[in-house]
Amino acid sequence: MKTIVVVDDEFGLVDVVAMVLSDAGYRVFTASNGVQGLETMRENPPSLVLLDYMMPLMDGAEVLEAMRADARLGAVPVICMSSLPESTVSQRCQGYRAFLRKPFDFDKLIAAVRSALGAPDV
Amino acid sequence: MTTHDFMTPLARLSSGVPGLDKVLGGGFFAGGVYILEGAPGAGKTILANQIAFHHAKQGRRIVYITLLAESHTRLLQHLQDLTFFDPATIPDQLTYVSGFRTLEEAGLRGLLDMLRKELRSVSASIVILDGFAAVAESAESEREFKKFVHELQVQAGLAPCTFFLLSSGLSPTPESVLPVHTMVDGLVRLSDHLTGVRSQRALRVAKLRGSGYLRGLHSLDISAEGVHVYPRLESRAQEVTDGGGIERVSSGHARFDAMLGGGLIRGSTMMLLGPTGVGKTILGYQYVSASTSVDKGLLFSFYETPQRAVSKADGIGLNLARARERGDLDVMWQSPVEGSLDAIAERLLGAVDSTGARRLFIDGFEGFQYAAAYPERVPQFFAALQGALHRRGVTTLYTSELRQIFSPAIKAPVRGLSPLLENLVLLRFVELRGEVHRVISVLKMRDSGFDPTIRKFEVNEHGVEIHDDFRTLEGVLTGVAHPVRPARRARPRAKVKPTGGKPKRRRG
Repeated sequence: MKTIVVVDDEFGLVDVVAMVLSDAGYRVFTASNGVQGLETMRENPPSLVLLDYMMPLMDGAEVLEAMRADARLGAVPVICMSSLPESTVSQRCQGYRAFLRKPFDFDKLIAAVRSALGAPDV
Repeated sequence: MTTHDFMTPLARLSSGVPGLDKVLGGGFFAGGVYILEGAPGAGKTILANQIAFHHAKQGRRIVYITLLAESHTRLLQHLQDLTFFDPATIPDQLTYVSGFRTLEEAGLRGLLDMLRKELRSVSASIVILDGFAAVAESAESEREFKKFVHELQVQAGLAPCTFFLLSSGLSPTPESVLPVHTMVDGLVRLSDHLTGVRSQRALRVAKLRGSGYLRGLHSLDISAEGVHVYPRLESRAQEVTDGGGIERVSSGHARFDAMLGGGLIRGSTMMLLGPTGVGKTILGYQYVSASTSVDKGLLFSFYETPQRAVSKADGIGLNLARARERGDLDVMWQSPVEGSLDAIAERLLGAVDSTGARRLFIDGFEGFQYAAAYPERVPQFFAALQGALHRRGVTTLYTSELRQIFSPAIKAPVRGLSPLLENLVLLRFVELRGEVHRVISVLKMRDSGFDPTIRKFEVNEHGVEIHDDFRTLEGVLTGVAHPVRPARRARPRAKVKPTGGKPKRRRG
């Protein structure tokens, strides 16, 4: 089963996103900040990461940088999410696959995930 | 060593919120912990974000931590239409993060840990904790909660960083004092209460360590520009000192000047009291038409728009348009149904300061009454406004409307106002032999003699014309005059408030 790690500090959003992706057939792990996110990824190597930009302790840009420096996580595709415009996020975040501007609807979310990862294994 | 050398004075932190620093006596103190408290919708979040953006624009780092279930996305969507919102400052200067889950999963200790790390990693100079009540709810004991606040204070001092804790629902009533209030450096309470059908926002500093501040409730407005605090005028009142000597200011009408004993007294306030249509406003126009480059005028009207006022004055030969063109006169309109007393006062005094006006005509004292959420406040407000204008050397003429067109009783526009009125002129309609006449009389002049004669006047294409007296008539001020008859028995006197008694030549 393809595994997705969702890293976001926003209460509610992370749980809803996890539910939607689980319903779509993916295995999902969540984390509420960058530090916790990296730990989760190392424990559960993901096929895809949904990564928020503004987070406490370690923001999305720092997580991306740490992932690229990690041999096991360096090649994992990342979808960045933020309520800020992509032009702002891209100034610090490099090497992400796609961008989702918050608020987004579930169709957009599933479409972005499928585009990056393909259909879930059934 | 002097006491001043003992320790470095604390630096002030400007709020960037118009009027708030004045209330705070110069701003918050950098490195302090402040609670901003108020019911939902009172304006805490906008106020805190306005402070945050103000500092972000100056290159400082701010962390906005929300402990509420509201998402940042929603918060930013709500803020984006406000003029202070500057997306370019996010996230490099201003970062929004959620501490909700950390608090849920790791409790107060986890939140403190997150705060400490966040503070160190971004070197924030301001931290805003939105949803502080959630910390209290998550605390296992009062002791744990107090310890959290104490550690915040330690971090604030070490960083140094200023903390704003936004809270609603922490205090059971708006006036409750909680143990946590005694621990923080300041407590600012926001409210939004109903007076009749009207909603009135207000701000009150309940505590501010290390500084004097303006006490009591201050009006607060929220517009597209964000929060604007209007310090209560009375709380800023300063001692009024007289320069000594009396300088006269012409009313713009020689005969009226003569009635006043030589004109109005510089820095004084005069009220023209009379029923609608009697000619109060015209007399006021006459006053400001005499504005010059060294004695500039300001017409502040609650009734007529500038265009209407100027055209009305022009119609009776008072060329206000030319005075405006010369730059000697400014004309402003103020809606009588919008804004608080203090917002109006700020606008008025701001205009006086920016134009340098010394000759002020306020048409419609009732405008202040309509704006007053608490009518009993009007006399104190009037006294403070009078003092503020006096200090600026402004001579003010007001109009105020008498409800009764013909009546033996004359009531002061507001209870408690009479002793504050320095100079009072009464304009009335008088019925005599099937005709209605206009009469004018000076009832009171403080520090000056005056002509107490009741005189007939007219309003025509030349403005106001003041005629002879009514010595052969009685009962003129009652509105129904009749010829003087040989006195056989005492006649009832006109009931004249606020001065009372029959006017006579005297010093006020």
